[in-house]
Amino acid sequence: MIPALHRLRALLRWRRGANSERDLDDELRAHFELLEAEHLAAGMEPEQARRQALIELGGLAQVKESVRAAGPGFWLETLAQDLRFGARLLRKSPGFAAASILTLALGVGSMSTLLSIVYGGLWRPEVPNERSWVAVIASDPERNLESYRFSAAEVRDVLEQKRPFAAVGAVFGEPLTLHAARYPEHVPGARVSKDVIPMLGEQPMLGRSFSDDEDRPGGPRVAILTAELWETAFARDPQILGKSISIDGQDRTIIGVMPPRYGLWGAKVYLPLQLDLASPDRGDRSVWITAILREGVTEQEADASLALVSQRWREEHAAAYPEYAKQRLRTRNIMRWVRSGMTPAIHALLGAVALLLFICSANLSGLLLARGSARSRELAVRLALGASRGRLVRQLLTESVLLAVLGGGLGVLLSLAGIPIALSLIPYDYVGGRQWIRLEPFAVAAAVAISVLVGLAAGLAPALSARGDDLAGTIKQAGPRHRGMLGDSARQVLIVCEVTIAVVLLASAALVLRSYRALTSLDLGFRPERLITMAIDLPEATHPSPKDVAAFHRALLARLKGLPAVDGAAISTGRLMVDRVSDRTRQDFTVVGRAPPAANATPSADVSLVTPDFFRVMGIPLLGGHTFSDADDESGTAFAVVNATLAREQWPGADPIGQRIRLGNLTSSRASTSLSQAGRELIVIGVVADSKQLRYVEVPVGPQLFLPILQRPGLARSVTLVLRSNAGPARVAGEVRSAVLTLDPTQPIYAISGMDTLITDAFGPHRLTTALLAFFAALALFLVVGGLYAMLAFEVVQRTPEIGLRLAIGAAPRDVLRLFVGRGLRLALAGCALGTLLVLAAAQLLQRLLYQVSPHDPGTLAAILALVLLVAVAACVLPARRAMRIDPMIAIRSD
Amino acid sequence: MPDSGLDLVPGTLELLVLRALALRPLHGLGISRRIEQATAGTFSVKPGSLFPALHRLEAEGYLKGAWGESENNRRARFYRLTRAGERRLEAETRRWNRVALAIGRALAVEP
Repeated sequence: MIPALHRLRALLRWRRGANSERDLDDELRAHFELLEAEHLAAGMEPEQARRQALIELGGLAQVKESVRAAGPGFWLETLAQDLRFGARLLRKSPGFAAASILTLALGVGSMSTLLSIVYGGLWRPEVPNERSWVAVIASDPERNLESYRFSAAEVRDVLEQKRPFAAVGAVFGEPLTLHAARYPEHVPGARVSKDVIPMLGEQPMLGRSFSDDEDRPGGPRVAILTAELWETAFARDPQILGKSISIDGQDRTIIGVMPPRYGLWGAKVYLPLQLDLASPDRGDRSVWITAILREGVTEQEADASLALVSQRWREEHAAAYPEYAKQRLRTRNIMRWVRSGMTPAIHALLGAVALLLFICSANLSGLLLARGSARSRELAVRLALGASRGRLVRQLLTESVLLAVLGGGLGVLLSLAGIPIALSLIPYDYVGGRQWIRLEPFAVAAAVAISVLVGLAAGLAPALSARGDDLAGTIKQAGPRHRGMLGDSARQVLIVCEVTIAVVLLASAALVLRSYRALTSLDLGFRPERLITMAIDLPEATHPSPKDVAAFHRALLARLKGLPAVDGAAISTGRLMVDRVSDRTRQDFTVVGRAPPAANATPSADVSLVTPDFFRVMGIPLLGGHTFSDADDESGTAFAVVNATLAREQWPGADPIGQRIRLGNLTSSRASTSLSQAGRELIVIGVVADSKQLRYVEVPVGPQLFLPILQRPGLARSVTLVLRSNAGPARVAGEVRSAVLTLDPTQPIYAISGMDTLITDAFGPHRLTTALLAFFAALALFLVVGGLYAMLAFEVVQRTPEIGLRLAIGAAPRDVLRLFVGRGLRLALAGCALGTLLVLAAAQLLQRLLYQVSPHDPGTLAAILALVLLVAVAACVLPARRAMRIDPMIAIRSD
Repeated sequence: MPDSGLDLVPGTLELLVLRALALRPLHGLGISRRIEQATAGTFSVKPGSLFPALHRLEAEGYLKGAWGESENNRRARFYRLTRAGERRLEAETRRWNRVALAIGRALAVEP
């Protein structure tokens, strides 16, 4: 560092050119000689003339210094000087330097880590015009139902709304089978209408998006790939356009490749939707409607236009489609919706980091203030010797900023290491574009700006409170023992604030931890141990009729049950622990023999089609009646098994077995279907316990309706296999795959996963919040201990002579101990009281993060307060013991 | 920059230096003597004030320094006004005259 500064100064001198140091020397020498000559000419003796000239010149060094000070690069030189001085001081007090740099590094590191993750995963715009990107949903507030899927006729009606929307499109996500390599491969796909890709302002980087002709029913078979699939399956083949690939057994021509990072609707392949807009059927609801608001149109205005559409549906079609009666169409911003799940947690974490950063700042200020008052003698002497206050301020500021920059730099390194650790806590698909999460320059800039500001603020206090006018007083007060009032009370306030914040953070972390434990120990309603799930989708091209699907399932289960590693195998159309609410099939029903309910009270249930063994394999207890048998196929009587919630809601206190229900319209369905069997009657033959099947385990279980898969195989093209096995998922998958390939060599299986992994993933966001909050709280406690310890240790040093005197005139060492511990404890108690008040005040905010735990939970709060006080006492005892052991004789003489 | 009997009003040193150089280039001592002579000894400028002012004015482009021979054949650094220096002298003189006039009037007014 030092040689570099010399080089810098040499550079400055060189830049001054003609005015270089050497030139200045020459000039002053010439001036001296002229003066001397003048005096000689006036008749002085040579010796006297020389002396007179020297006096008049007034000190060569001072003149040179003042010329230099007037020069343009002077401030840089001063800065270099201050930096050198600051670095020397830091090296001389390594404890102080390490404590402040570490404190800052932790604060800056946590903040830039969290900001980077939040920005990269949640805030960064996914698409350029995401603010106006909406989905259309049909909501029925009275039944608390929301449906996202629409029929072709409904899409047509929304498409006609030209006023609020710049573009409207329809999307249907669907798993596809790709035959590009030697093995059939499962890829997530999306069928999109022609406007869906262009509406977001992104275009294929190769080729083009779909044309009008390609989007009409029966149009040409084409496909667009994502850059990712182009890379993994086609090795970035530059001649890919125009080539033919086999998707779901059909040959399709590739017409485009999307740019990297494009992966909307979670798809890797896009096919034209080819929706038949002329179809009069309104009940076959399978596609999402997405739209871009016209510029200047608000969501409310769009909703008003859509309200007219729902009104027309009500007036014209309510007879055939009673769900129209109370339904209202509205828009919902897609990205806000996607991110909303994570928002409360993110706010809590950002708040925690802000508090932590505040503790760091307080600690740093405390350290600098302590040091400042220790240096008051040095500063007073320098002021008295003629240093200007401005110069002093600048020097102290340079020192603080030096600390801030070192701490900030270390913090950036910490967050480089911390980001992968934090990301490993987030389940794979939870944060969009996690591969793009990196240390964001703006996060670093924000963190460094804050650390520099803290440095400036904390560094200023001692410079401003230094007194040059009362030098004698300051020095007489025996230097280090002089206690500036500002420094002292400010440090106490800082400690109280730190304790307050630590209490808030610790209490939040403890509550969230308890809530996490409540969540993870939740009874899921089935036995997750040793369960393995995998998905299989049967394309229409290879299994054209529902009968083929049923035959395949039957044959596959027969084979799987023969495998030695498999204890049981079953099939469900629900993706267990993977589905979100919107992925589930929901269907209205009515109880036969009961007066039809008002349209807004029509019950609906989450419908799964399952094989007879499903309940046994999953470990869902049968509460009454019996389950299906292998004979329950399309030809037989239609049976249903209901869950406890449905039974309780429909037949409270009565036996549901033997009751009949009639299916109504599908309100939401993942499969494209005209097979809703609306109007069909089912006999309830069994009641099973409630079981959690959604990814969000905290969502309460609603009414569930299980139907035999063999009675509606057409709805079961996309299913999940559930197996209970002692072998690991990889081995079981191998055996299942070979069983599948013997039945159909073109059929892939995918999404192979142990149920335990799925459950862990389901808890992912909670785990992340909990882990980060716990980490921040621990850090806060650690910092508070450091802050308390540093304050008291400093005070003990400051007051050594006074303590010596007390001991000399008869105070017991125990009194000294009590004095210091009491002092620390008083501050800690004040902080605890304030912290408790804050926690109680913030209960409303905390509640959103908690599951089955009250934010007022007295046990948790009491435990935290006890912990904080205990730790505070420990932090005080060490310095207090040092004070206790002071030898009065040495202490009094030390000055 | 206080020197002899009178404190210099801030900014006046530059004006005096520029004025001293208005006729012909001078070296440092020459400027100093010229100011003493012109102000009849009221201001005497010491090197500690003079040289910083000279170097600042040169850095700002109002003066140009060059080595030359003094009247008694000694090497010395001579300063001369640049075009910018001449303009600055004019402007400063006008400003000073206005200030001096105003102050004079103010002082002349009976309270």
